[in-house]
Amino acid sequence: MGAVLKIKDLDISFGGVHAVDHLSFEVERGEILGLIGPNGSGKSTTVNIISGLYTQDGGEIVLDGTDLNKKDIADRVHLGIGRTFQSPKPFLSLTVYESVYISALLHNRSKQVAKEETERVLEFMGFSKLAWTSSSKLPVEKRKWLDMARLLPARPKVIMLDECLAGLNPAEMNESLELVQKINSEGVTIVFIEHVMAAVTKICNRVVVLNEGKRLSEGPPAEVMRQEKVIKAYLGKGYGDA
Amino acid sequence: MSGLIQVVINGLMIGGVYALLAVGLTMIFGVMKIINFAQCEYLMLGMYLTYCLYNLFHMDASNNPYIFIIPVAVIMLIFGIVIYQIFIRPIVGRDMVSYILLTMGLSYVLQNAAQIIWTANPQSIDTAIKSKSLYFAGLDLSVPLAKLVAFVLAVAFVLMVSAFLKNTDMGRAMRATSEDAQIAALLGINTKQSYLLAFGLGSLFAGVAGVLLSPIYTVYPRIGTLFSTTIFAVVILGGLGSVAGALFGGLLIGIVENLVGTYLALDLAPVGVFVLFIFVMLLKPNGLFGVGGRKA
Amino acid sequence: MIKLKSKSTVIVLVLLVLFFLFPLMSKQLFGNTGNYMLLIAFNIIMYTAMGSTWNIIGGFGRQISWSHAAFFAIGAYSAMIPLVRWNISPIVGILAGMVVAMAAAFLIGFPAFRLKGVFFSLCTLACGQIVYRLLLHFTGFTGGASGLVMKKINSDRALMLLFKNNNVYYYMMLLLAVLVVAVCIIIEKSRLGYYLKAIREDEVAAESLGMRPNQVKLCAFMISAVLMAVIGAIYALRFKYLDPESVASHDLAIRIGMTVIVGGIGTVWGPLIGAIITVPLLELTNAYFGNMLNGGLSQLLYGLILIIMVIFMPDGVISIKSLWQNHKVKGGL
Repeated sequence: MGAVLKIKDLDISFGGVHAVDHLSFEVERGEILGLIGPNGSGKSTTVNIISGLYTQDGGEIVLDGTDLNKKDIADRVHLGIGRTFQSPKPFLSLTVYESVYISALLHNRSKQVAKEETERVLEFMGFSKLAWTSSSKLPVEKRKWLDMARLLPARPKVIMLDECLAGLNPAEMNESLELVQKINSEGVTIVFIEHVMAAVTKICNRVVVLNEGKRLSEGPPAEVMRQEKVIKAYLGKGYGDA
Repeated sequence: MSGLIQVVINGLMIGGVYALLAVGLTMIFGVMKIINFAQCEYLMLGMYLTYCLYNLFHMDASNNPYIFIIPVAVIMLIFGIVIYQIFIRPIVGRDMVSYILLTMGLSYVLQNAAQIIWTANPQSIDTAIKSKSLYFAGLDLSVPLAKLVAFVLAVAFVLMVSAFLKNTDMGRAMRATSEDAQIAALLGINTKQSYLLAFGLGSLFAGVAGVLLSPIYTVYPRIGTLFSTTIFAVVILGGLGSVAGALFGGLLIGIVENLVGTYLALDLAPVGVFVLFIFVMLLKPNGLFGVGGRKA
Repeated sequence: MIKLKSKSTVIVLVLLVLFFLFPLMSKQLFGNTGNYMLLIAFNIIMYTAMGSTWNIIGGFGRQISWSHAAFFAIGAYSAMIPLVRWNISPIVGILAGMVVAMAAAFLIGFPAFRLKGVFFSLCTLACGQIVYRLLLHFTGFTGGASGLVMKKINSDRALMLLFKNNNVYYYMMLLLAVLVVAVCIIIEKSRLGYYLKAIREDEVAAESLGMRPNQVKLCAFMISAVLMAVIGAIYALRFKYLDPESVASHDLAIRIGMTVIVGGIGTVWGPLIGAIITVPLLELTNAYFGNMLNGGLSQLLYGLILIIMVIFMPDGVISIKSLWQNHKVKGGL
């Protein structure tokens, strides 16, 4: 299938902290890749660099053959990168419809097409009944789904989901995972940052494990998570030596 | 060359006072994350207070106003606290627009209250210091004594503030609140007290600056507007929340202002300041001493 | 929802008719003070227009600008200078003013929009001050502090937009205000309006969807500036006197924003409500209290009103209905 996203030797430091340390990995087209690792291992930073929010000190990001270097956030979105944030970022005074509509407007010259696209996305994500609800009235899980829905009118190639299950109960988590898989089945590659291991095991084809900004391990989730070095990284050195 | 030194020194002198005004503003921003648009009105009140005290005690040309620094400081501290309790406390936690509008409204109220009390006519104090100068023959440099005293005392104050913030419990509490108010509160720091103190101190510094400026400027209700935009430029250029930034920014802007005013045109001096300000903003949006982020 | 919409439409239409008929009735209604009342009406209309242009960037986008007086001044001076100095029709001047204002907005916006929130506002404050100082400085061109004056005219010269009867300017300003408000209504429902709202709510999120917020803000800013310039030109032609203090001052810059904030920031009718409230209020306080207490009382009240509005009615008078409903729901009066 080939790699849709290639990260080569990515490197960034903040003050004294070497947040991402010569990181390399590839994302296969159409897969759901889990990006896991203990807190502070550089997962969100990596996503921020790929999306364009941060500029790396060194290294390359190649999306479908295009080098993303020096491209601003908007360019990267147009080239096919989408991302959600750890905390939902709704447009509070706007309705669900308007939130998705804005994204549709950004990627379609015709207002008519934008409207149709908005309706398609709302239907796809199960928001049709809530279309005219104000975003401020949505509970947290629906805000997360709205964040995902907003990305779709851009017809992204890769979506990076940053801890989209945080704070949800098991039923909500299941619904979220179904939505993620539904989006994936449309051909969108997913990079899935998560701490909830059960979810990672359930939907990810592969995982990449980060620790202290470096790539620690890579492979099928069940296998990787049995590796001693991965367990050590999560639980701290004390456990391994105990 | 000697002319240039004179111009630079003149700028430096007023820069010291800018620094003192800016320190109050930057402290209020650092701790409370609000811009106090009424800061220079406190300066105006400090000047009027000096004038009133001067007349109250029947001072004349043989006296100087500097003995009133402590009383004015105390009065302005109390005043700042009162203003905080009445006007600022209700809007703590609201958005930036609210703060901007509220303190702008406050500046109008203070300006016009002053006009009601003291009329719009300019007033000044009668002190011999006004006409004294120090002459440095070697450099062909003449420094008005009043400006030199203002500079020395202003910088001394700024250094005292810096020491206060670093070495006292209250100062450390303020710095903690300034970094992250939520966490500071969780650690048991009385953030409300820090806010109160910041606001009170800001008023105090501006009041003291008023005492220092009273032999140099005549006071009228709107004198604050002469300084306010410049002081905002100082604070932002230096880096919001940074005392070092306020000091450096104040001195730098004082010098630039005087250079532009002397060599280009007097009424374009503020334009020079603003152009510098905009230039620095483009290069370092967080100010010269500000803490920046890593954005693409 | 629909019921409310037509209610406010009816009110606005009634107001429009009243404003239209006002010059014809003012003498009958107010006798000798008729002209003074007309002046107040003119100012209400003008502040509605000014507030509406400000609202495009300051309300829809929540980018609080203190440089709009500069655009007003640019329009005013662009109309007056060619007329007074070289006898060129202000029609040319107005067009020139629009171009200059657009350029100024670009020059100001380009650095200013790199800053966020209050930093942006302070940058616009500084830029507004620069324009003010420049107007004061180049006396050969602008007349400096003494400003520019036009002689009284004896007969109408339509092509020069000079009319004896000030009512002509009244209707010009009314037409302009209607146009500006119409532009606001169109923008609100347009692509630009949606983008501005997204930026207002969460700029980072908007950017992450593929928007370039600075471009959007700059666009709104320039539109706002161009409209403001035309208002300034009509003002200049009506009063035939300009100086930096009356058209480019810090006070005016604040007053424009304040009018909208009092009425209801970000709403289409906020500027109108704000103008209807603040213009007569300021006139009244000036008239009654202007000479009392060393002249400070009217502006003091102005400041107090602003403070009270901010503390108790941050969304403006337009939100008074929902505030009242919230109050009742909380139980207890």
